[in-house]
Amino acid sequence: MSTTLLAPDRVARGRDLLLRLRGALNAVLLGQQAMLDLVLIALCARGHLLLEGLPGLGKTELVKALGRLLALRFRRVQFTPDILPADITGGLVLEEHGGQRTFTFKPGPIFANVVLADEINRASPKTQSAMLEAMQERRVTVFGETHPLPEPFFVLATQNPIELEGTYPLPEAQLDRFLFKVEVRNVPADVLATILRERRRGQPPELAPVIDAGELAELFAVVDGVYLPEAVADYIGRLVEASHADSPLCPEAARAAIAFGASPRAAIALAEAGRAAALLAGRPNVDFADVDALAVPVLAHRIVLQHAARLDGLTPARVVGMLLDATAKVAKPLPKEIA
Amino acid sequence: MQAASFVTGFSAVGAGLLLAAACAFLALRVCGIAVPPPAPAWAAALAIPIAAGFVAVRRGRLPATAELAHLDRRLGLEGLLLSASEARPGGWDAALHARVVEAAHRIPRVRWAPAARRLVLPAVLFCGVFLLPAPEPAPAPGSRVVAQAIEDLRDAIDLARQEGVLDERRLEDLAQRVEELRERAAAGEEVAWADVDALGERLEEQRALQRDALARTAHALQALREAARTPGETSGAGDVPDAEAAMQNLLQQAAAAGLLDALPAGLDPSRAAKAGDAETMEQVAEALGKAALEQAEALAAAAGDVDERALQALREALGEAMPGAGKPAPGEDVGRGGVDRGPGHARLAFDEHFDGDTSTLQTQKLPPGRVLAEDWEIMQVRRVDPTAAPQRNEAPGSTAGAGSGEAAWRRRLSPSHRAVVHEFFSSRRAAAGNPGGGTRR
Repeated sequence: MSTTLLAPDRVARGRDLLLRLRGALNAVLLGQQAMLDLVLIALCARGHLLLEGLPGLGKTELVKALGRLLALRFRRVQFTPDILPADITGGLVLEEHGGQRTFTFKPGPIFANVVLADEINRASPKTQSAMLEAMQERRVTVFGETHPLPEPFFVLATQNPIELEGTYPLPEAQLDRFLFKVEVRNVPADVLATILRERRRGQPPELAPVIDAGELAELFAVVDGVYLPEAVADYIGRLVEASHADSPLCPEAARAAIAFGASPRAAIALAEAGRAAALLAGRPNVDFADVDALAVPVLAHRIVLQHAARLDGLTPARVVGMLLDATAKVAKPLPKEIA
Repeated sequence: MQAASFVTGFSAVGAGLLLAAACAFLALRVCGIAVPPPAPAWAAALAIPIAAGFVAVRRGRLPATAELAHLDRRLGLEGLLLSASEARPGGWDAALHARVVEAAHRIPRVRWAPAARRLVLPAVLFCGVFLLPAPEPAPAPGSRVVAQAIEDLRDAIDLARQEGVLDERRLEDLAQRVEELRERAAAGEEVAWADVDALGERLEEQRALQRDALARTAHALQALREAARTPGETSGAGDVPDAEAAMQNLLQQAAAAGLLDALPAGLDPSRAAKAGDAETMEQVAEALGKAALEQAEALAAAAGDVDERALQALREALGEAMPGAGKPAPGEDVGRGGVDRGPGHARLAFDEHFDGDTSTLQTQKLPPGRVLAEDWEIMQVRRVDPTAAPQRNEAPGSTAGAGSGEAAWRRRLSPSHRAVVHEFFSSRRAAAGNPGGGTRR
């Protein structure tokens, strides 16, 4: 018993920062409460987010607002089929100083705290792979020279589920690097009416930073202090193991549908996201409910289904639901004869 | 927790035990075996579910982490209790204490209802087996045969009564004894074969006595015939004429055989014999002979074995005394059988080479029938496979079907998958699901 749970006042402070940020985001993006919570959790967990949805739902506006509210450096990259890796990471430029020519590294748009990778699936695999090192290791290597990315580094990528011509679906390795894959849904009619009343020409309200760099660092420290109990960690482990078809924990209904299960990185992501969710709920520890709530956005895009299962209309989200149903919270259940 | 584990194990094994016992008893009952009534010793079987309960307690013991996790969930602490058990609670101590105090009110209680529900159905089934009516004791195979033998004996006695040949009083006694045996057999008691055989032998003995009496009557008739051929001669034993002595002997033998009732009313045989009334004696001899012949034939038919010699002697004796007697009237011989008559209505036809002496005939067993003609010969006996001419299934979509790939297309894809592929390539979906106007890769 060497560690101590976060003090209630620290938890309250961290939650207050999160609620402040959520309130400000709510003012920008109306009627997307659940998605905004996932964005905040991904930010606190220092994970990257893949937003998938039709055009015009406010994905880009959300990322821009996040950059402004956090007083962080924000860059937007519009991915196209002809964009090159150097266009993102930056490259060496020949410069002349005092009659002497030298190669100078010009950082690309990825050298920012919040990067919006718009329509990421339109870039070629070569360019997409340039994002891999940056997303996972938070550094860029150009001509053998490694350049660290600024902290925090947060990639929000978007992709359009339609207009598939000229696109390159993200490979599994790159999908695995996104903490969440979130589907952005349409807003209901009453929210649309509010948008029409309050926004002229769709312009969002003027935003001012609500969290400075120090507060953001404090927030991250609080998130890191959220305790993950052994039983919950065991539950996460069993849940991820159950996503593999060859595992004895895998339910029979899902066994035939799964081609590849989730990686250990998924278990880490689930634990980190659970910490952020616990803080958002005002708790110093992760609970089973946090894992259940985050299992679909964390695991669904990491599970590869069999071709026949996809043709049968089975979705990864449904498979994750099967895993949740089949995995007991506590490895050894209570007898049925207990009220 | 331990009580719940015990109840779980006890109810599961107890229900299984009750169900197994009910099924076993039901199987016994279906097989006609009576189910033993419940006995206090059966309570010893409770040891099995009790032992299972203790095993369940031992196996169901949860590790401390799991117990804490369950308690945490029951108290709604959202993992705080779990975390506090692994890390110092710090400032959460007071809040944790306030919630844990409530744990005393939320200690899990044993749910008796599921365990009781699990036990109810097997218990009802178990008790229901005892409510079934007891099976009738099935007679042993041996006793069924004895009962049949008793029934046969009873029929034989009834037949003898109808014929009126044997002594009615003795038949009545036999019938009474047979009825006693029959009632014992019907009650399920064991009836010894010796008793049945003894009654059967008594019936046969009566028949044999009657046959002897009839044979002696036949001899007496023969003697009377001889005496009638030689009138005035004496037997050498006294002054009594032979006819009178033969008549007296005949009357004695007829009385022993019970034939005197067959004499016509008003006919006094003793007086006729003393007076030497030849006509009356002839009438008496004719009546007695006819009655003796009928009784002998009835006895032969009842016994199944025909003593042709005795019957022939009677016929001859009767024929001498009474021309035309001794031969059955047309139609009377139906079903009697015999050497010179076939069974039932069939009459054996003898050719001109037969001299009429049936005593020279012998019983001969005929050879068994043959399927093959006599001039046929079996060359070889061996096993061969049946002749088969399989036809290839060449219908479209089948394995052997030939075509432009249509068969493989139909075979490889299930209908639901085929519909999905069809929908993907159809123009309707392209128009509806691609507002950007782009084409698919």
